[in-house]
Amino acid sequence: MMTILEPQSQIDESLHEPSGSSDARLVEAARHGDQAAYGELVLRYEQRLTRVIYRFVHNMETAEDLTQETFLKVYDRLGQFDSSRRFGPWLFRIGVNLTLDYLRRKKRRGRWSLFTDRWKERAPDPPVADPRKALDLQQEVQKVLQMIPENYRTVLTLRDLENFSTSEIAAVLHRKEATIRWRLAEARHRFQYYWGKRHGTVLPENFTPSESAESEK
Amino acid sequence: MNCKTAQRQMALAVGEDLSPVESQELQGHLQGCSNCQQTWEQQRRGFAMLQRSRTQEIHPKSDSVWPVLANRLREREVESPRGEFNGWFAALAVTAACVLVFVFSQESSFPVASQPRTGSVTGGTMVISPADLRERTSSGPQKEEVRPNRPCNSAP
Repeated sequence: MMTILEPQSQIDESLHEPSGSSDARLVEAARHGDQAAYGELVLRYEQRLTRVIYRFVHNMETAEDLTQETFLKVYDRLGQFDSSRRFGPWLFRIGVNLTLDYLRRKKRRGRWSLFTDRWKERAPDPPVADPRKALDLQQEVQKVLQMIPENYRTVLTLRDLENFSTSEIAAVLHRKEATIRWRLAEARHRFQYYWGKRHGTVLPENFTPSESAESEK
Repeated sequence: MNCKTAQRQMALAVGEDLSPVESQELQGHLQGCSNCQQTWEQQRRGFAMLQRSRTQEIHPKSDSVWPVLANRLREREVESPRGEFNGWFAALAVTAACVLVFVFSQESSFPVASQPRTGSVTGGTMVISPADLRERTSSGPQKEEVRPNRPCNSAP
């Protein structure tokens, strides 16, 4: 008899602000030039933001650079922040967009270098087995994730790897929650499909990822 | 619930993203559909793989980015007034250049009435060649007397 787990209380570490001065108060103070207040906001969110960015870029140095850039951009845009909304999702939206832009630029550069570096010599494959066996699962998962289109992959990363709730993802990506749930289901299907394809496991008979546009609910 | 809907719901169910009512509906469907039961098991395996990869620990540096960030913000604040001044300075320089060009172009388009038609200006002195002078004196009385250019050491 199979059982489906009931939804648990979401998220150990959410985008809800911690105790102390409220985010809104700190944002207001920062808007009036109080850099210490902005510093407190940075300290509150930097670790979580760096981790989320790392999930996309897989390089800690790059993740930390992008974290800094995010906070600089947020500081410049404090005047545009709608104080009736929560600061966390707004910050993460800017961070995730900055990261996706970075990845798109990198991809474009990569395509270009395929032409420019075409005839350069490449290092031969090492004759011995890769000693980083322990990382194989992560690498394999990353390869499969890269096969999933960006709008689905982003939702999957935030939900299944970073444990954001669907309502939080909706706030971060500025989409309806129904759209996020749709994308999440599609992303999980695709992940399973490509994983099965790469590893020769049985595929679900009734599912083939389609290129058709999702229905934006 | 048909199989297509069930498949979509299963993808949400593996991550506990269904409401209790939706979960019950799905469970009801699974009990009577062996095909969907298989898919459910596969969905669970795929999801478990994703979750296992998630256990990789990510350790951002223990140092906060704030000290570096605070320095960058301070540097920008120091730079920004200078930047503003530079902007104004550049704008003023361009405006002044435009005004000068305009003034000179206006002056050159209005000929001075007293200026003779021939000759050239050398070092601010009007120089008329002797041949021109002869022509001008022979063609009638001149209102203005123009002296030919002489060398400085020659007697007047």
